[in-house]
Parts: sequence; structure tokens; C-alpha cells
Amino acid sequence: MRFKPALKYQIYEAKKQIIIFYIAAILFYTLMAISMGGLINSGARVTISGLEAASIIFLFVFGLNSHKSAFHMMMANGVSRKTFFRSFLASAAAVSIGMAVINSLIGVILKQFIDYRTIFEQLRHGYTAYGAAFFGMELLWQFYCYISAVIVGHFITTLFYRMNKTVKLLVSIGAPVFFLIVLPIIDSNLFDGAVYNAIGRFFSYISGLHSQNAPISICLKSASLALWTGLSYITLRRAPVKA
Amino acid sequence: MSVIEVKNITKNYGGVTALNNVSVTFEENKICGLLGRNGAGKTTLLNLITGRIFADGGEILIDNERAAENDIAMSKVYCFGEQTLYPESMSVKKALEWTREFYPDTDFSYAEELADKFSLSVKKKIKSLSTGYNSIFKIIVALSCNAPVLLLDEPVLGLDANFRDLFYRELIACYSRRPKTIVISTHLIEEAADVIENVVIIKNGEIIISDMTQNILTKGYTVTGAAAAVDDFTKGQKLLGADTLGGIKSAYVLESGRPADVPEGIEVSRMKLQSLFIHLTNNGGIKK
Repeated sequence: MRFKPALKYQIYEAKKQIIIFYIAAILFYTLMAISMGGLINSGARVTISGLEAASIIFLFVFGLNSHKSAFHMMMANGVSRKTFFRSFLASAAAVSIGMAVINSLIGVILKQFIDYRTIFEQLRHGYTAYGAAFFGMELLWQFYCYISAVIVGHFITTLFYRMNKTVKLLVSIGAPVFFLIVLPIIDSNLFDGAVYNAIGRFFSYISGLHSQNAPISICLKSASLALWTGLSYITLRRAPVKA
Repeated sequence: MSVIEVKNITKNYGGVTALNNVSVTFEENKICGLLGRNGAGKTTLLNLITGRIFADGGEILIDNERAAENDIAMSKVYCFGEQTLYPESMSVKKALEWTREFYPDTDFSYAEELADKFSLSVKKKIKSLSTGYNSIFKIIVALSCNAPVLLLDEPVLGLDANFRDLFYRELIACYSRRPKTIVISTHLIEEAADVIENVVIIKNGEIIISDMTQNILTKGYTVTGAAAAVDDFTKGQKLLGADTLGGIKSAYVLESGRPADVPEGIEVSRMKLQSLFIHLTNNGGIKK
């Protein structure tokens, strides 16, 4: 009974940010198309990509901003955490499907003017020809990338929300110091970079980027998504309202 | 039916016990005053009822249904908390529109009428509101949402005397139109005394009194007279405290009924709710 207004609110919150993102993206690609026009006319081969990567970054940041305000609003209006989470997942899915479709359409339009390549095209994932299967798998692949970005962002922000000030401070300072200074020094001096290579391979594998086979990539993404969703809910289910 | 039953609730913050095995019932369609000193556990209790925080033990029922993480139970409750939980960048009007989404019985025209009476522009953003107007915003949402249960935590915080008076009048009008279970947590006891039918007094995380206001007021009385005569008269009675000025002593007594035979030189008068509260919640407590 409270799911519908909760979902409506989450979509309302997302709408403004998505509109701003696409205005910026369309402006950027229009400017790129105009500025590349001269180069292309002179015979140079120019390839443009990055809309999906920008979308993933945007949706990760969107996920990072998705907790406090919406959670407080739900708590003010007597919505349970379970319903809040369900509405969040539904809105994340709707946003991800919507952006996957919009990005594909933008891709089709951009291809008319410039040499535009999507990430999926660059990875190919075993596809040698364009067709319905390729575009269908690309849409699904984009959807999984986008929803994963939102949920990982949500998990991180919920985890941060639940930490007390001391732990927040320790993590805010400790994590960058460890991962950007301490670990690289240890890794390069003692392991010849093997630790960072392994971390990179692990994330590439669980994010489905590693596999050259699209269905396997989707399966890996599904498993990874289920894991992040579970972690996110576990973090949220006993979260108290904080100032 | 809108009854809130709090059963054996315990809440600890680190090593501090905010509520210790608290059991209390907020009766249907009654206005109840939740009174207690700073840090007594009033806000904690209200936050537990609305599921904003979790108890370490016990349970809370709303109309016989567990309140925790229950959308049906929670849809019957609107809590005016200390914290403004609406997004700060939202306008008052938008906040009211969203409240109507979650509480479909929200009377939008009444909300606009209240905004007009309290001189609050609904176009204003929540972040631009002063403490007083923030309270007014929350009052408007609470009174217009028509939830069967209203929990009001310090509703008159930052309001001037005129707006406080207007709030109490509107609360009564709102309650008369559509009776509901209302719990008011406040420090301004004398002002709220005329409105509240039941009183729950909480002290150091424990309920020390839960009764009808009228019953409580008939139990408490002040005995004034010469110190020796007052001591003699109040011997064996439950004393809440005493003040002595010169040779004149005032003793505050809590008994089941006022004494019938009052000796000459002794005056027995009714205690006001605030006075009773002060003496009940002073560190000394009841002495015999």
C-alpha cells in the first residue's frame, strides 16, 4: 500500500538529476560532433565513445546520493525500510532500463554523424555481426551495468550512514591512504604489482567485463548484482534515523 | 480503533539506558501528554513507536499489530519529530503534496488555511524556515494529514505565545472534527494542561505515572502552614517535596484523596499539573 507513493517519490527524486545528465551529455556530444566535423572532412578517422561509461559514473554517484534524503522522507511518512528498499530497487531498475534505451537511441543517432562506438561494441562479447540479438544483449548488458552502479553506490552510502563519526573518519582517511599509498608501495616492492593485478582481475570478473561471452557476462553480473543487493539490504534493514 | 500499546520496551545507547522495561498504553481517541525532564526518554519512546530507531527488547503494537517495519500499522501514525526529515530544498507546498501521496486523507485546503492562519508562505523552501516556522510547517503537516494517530514531539518549539495559543486552538478544532489518538510531548506543561486528557510521566527511562489528568490532579495537593503543624499533618503521607520560607512550610503530597478534616492553621490546596510534575520528577521523588 505504501510501495506506489514510495516508488513515485524515488522516481521524482531521480528525474531531475537524469534530465541534467542528459542535457550535459547531449551538449557534449553535439559540441564533439561539430568540432570533429572538420577533422572528419580532412580525412582523419575519429571514433567517439563514453556515453555508457559516463552513465555508469553518473549512476554510481546517483546511488551514493540515493540514501539519506529518500530514507528520511520515507521515515517521516511512515514507510517501512523493506518498502523503501523495494521502491529503491524498482526505481533503480526503471532508471537503468530507461537509460539503457535512451543511450542506445542516442548511439543510433550519433552513428549517423560520427563514428560512435559503445562499450559493448568494443568488447564485442563474441558477437561478430549486428542484429536483434546483438542489440538485445547490449541493452541487457547496459541495464546490468547501470543497476549495479546504482546499487553499489547505495550500499556504500548506506554503510557510511550507519557508521559513527569516528569510524567514518577512519574509513575516509584510512581507505584512501591504504589503497592509494600503503598497498601500492607494498605491492610494487614485495609482489611486483601482483596484488593490484589480482584486484583488477577480480573486479573485472565479477562485473562481467572479463568474459568475452555475453550470456556468461550477464550471469556474472546477475550474481554480482544479487550480492550487492543483499549487502545493501542487510545494511539498511536495521538502520536508525540519524541527524 | 487507534490504540498504541508499548510492552516492556528497553532501549540502550551504549552504556546508557534510555528506556527501561517501559509499558504504557496510549488510549484510542484521547489526547495524552507525554511529560518528562530533558533526557527522560520521551523522544526515544516516540521514535521507537514510529520505527525510526529499534528497541533492544519488548514490542510496540498499533491496533494489535506489531508496529516495527509494518506499513499498515505505520500508515495510521504521523510523527512530528524534533528533526525535520523532509528534504530541505523542498518547498512547503511540495512537502504537503507528497504528504498527501503517503497519507491520502490529507486535507490540502485545510493545510492551506492553516498556512494562512500561521502566516506561512507555502512557496518557501523548508531550509529557509526559522525554528518557529519549521515547527509551524510540521504542525500544518501533522494536523492536515488526518492520520488516526498523531505523535507530536515538542510541537510548540520556537513558537511565540500567539502562535502557541493558535496551535492549541487548532489542535482542539482538528480533534473535535475528527477524533484521533494524540500524544504530545512538551515541556510547556501549564499550556498543554487544558488540552491533555491523559498524562504519562516518564523519569529516567521509566514510567512513573500513567493516568487521567483529572485523577492525577485530585491526588496531588499542597499543605501550607506553620512548619511544625504541616509536619504533623503530613506524617505518614506520600511527600513529593517541601518548601520552607521563614516559619511557613508548603508540603507537596500525593495521596489517593484529599483529607476531609483539615485542622485550623493548615491550608490544603490543589496542585497544578506543572507543580506536580516538578515535584514528581525532582531527584528526590516520593518520600514517606
